[in-house]
Amino acid sequence: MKGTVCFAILAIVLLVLVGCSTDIQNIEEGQRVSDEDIASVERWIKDTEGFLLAYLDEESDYVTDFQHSDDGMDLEGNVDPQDDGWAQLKQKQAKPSSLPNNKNNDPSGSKGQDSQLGIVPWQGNRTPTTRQPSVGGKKPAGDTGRELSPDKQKSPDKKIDDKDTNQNRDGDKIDSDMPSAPSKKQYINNIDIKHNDLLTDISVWTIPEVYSVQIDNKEMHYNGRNRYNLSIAGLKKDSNVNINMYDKDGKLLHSQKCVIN
Amino acid sequence: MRKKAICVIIILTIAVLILAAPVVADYWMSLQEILGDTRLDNRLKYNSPRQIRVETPKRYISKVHIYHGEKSDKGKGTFLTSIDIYPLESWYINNIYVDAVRLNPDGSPSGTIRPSREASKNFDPETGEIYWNVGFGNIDVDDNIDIEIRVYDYRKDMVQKLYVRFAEGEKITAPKESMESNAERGYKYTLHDLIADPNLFNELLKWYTLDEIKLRFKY
Repeated sequence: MKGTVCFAILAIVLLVLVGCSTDIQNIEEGQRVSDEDIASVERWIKDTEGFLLAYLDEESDYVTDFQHSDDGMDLEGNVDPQDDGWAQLKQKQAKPSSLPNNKNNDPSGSKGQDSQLGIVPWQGNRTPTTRQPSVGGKKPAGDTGRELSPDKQKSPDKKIDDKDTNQNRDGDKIDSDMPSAPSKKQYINNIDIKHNDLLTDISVWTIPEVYSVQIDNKEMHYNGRNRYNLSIAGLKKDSNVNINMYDKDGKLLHSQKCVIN
Repeated sequence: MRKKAICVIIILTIAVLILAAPVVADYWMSLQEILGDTRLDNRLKYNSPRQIRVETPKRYISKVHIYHGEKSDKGKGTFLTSIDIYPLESWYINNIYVDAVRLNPDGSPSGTIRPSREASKNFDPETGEIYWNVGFGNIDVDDNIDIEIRVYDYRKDMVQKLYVRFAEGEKITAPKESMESNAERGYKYTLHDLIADPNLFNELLKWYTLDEIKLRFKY
C-alpha cells in the first residue's frame, strides 16, 4: 500500500514537472526563434533541391550504364528473366526505340507484344516470363531437394533421441514397483522434479484414468489438465519417494518409486 | 520565477525518492521464483530469515462434493451430476461460476462442454450452512473431464480458481484451521519458521502451491 501511494505521488509530481517544462519551451523559445527557424528551413530547402538534382543526374547515368552492361544473363550463363524485365522497363522509359532488341530474350513474347505500349502490358508479360522458368527450372528443384534432405535426416534422429530419453527416464529415475502388472501401461506421461536446499518440487503429468496422486501418502494438488503438483520440504537428495496413483473409485492403480536427484 | 519553481520541484522529487526508496524497495517473491534463484544467498545477506515474512492468499472454498445420480450398471454411461461447493466465509463471495472442460488424452483442453454455469446459493436450515450448488446432465463420466470453479468477490474480481476431477466424492480444498497469512489477517510466519519447522512447512505446502506462497524481501 505504501509503495503504491508513494508511486502515485511520485508519478503526479513527475507529470506536473513534465507539463511545466513543455509549457515553458512553448512560451519562451517558440516566439524568439521563429525568424531564424524560417531562414534555416529555406536554406535547407535550397540544399535539398541541389542534392535532388544531382541525384537525378546520377540516376540517369546509372540507367544508361545498366542498358549497356546487362544482357539478361548471369555470370553462370543462366537467363534471369526478372532482371531482363527490369532492364526492359528502364529501356522503355528511357528509349522506346530499343524494345526490339529484347524480344529475343523473351520466351513468351508473342502474347504481350500485340498490346505492348508503356508499362501496363509489360506487367502482363512479366508474370509468365518470371514464373515459368522459376517453377520448371533447375534452381527450384535443387532448393526443394535441399529442403527435404535435412528433414529426412533429422526426423529419425529426433525419434531416436526421444527413445533415448524414455529409456533414461525408465532406467534411471523411475523403477516400477509392480513387476507383476499384466500390461506395462504407462500411467505417468511425464515427471519433473526440482530439488533445492529449501524444498523439492514434484510435478506429474498422468493419463486420464488417474484421478488422484499421492506422494508418500500426501495428496498432490490438482492443477488442471491432468497435472499434479506437490512440494515437499526436508527431502534429501538421492532419497526415494513413492508415487501412488488412484482411479475415480479410490482404487490403487499403480505405485512407482522415484529417486530424487 | 519559473526557474525557481522548477528547482523547488526537482528538490521535492529527489526528497520524495529518497524517502520512498526503502518502501519501494520492498518486493515479494514466490517460492517458485526462489526455487530457481541463484542469488538467494545474496538476498539473505540483507534480509535475515526472521525478517522475511511469508504471505499466503485467502482461501474461499473449503470443500467440493460431487454427487452422481442414477448410476447405470458398472458405473458407466451418463447420469446427472450435482456439485456442492462449500465456502469458508460465504460473505466474501459474490458468485461462483462452474465450467466443465473436456481434455484430450495428453491433457490439453479439447473444448468447454458446459461453459460458465453460475452456481446458486443455498441455505441449510438445520446446520445453518450456506453453500453453492450447480448441476450438470448428460456428461459421460468416462470422459477426461475437468471441473473448473471460479470464485468472484463483490468487486467482480476472480479471487480463486479451482480445478477438480470429475469423480464422485468429497474433496477438501482448504485446511480446517486457517493458514492464511497476509496484510488483512496479519503475517503469521517468517522464513525462519518454515526452515526451523519442516512439519509446518509441509502443512503449508499441502494447501498452497509454490506460486501462492510469497516471501517479502526488504532490499
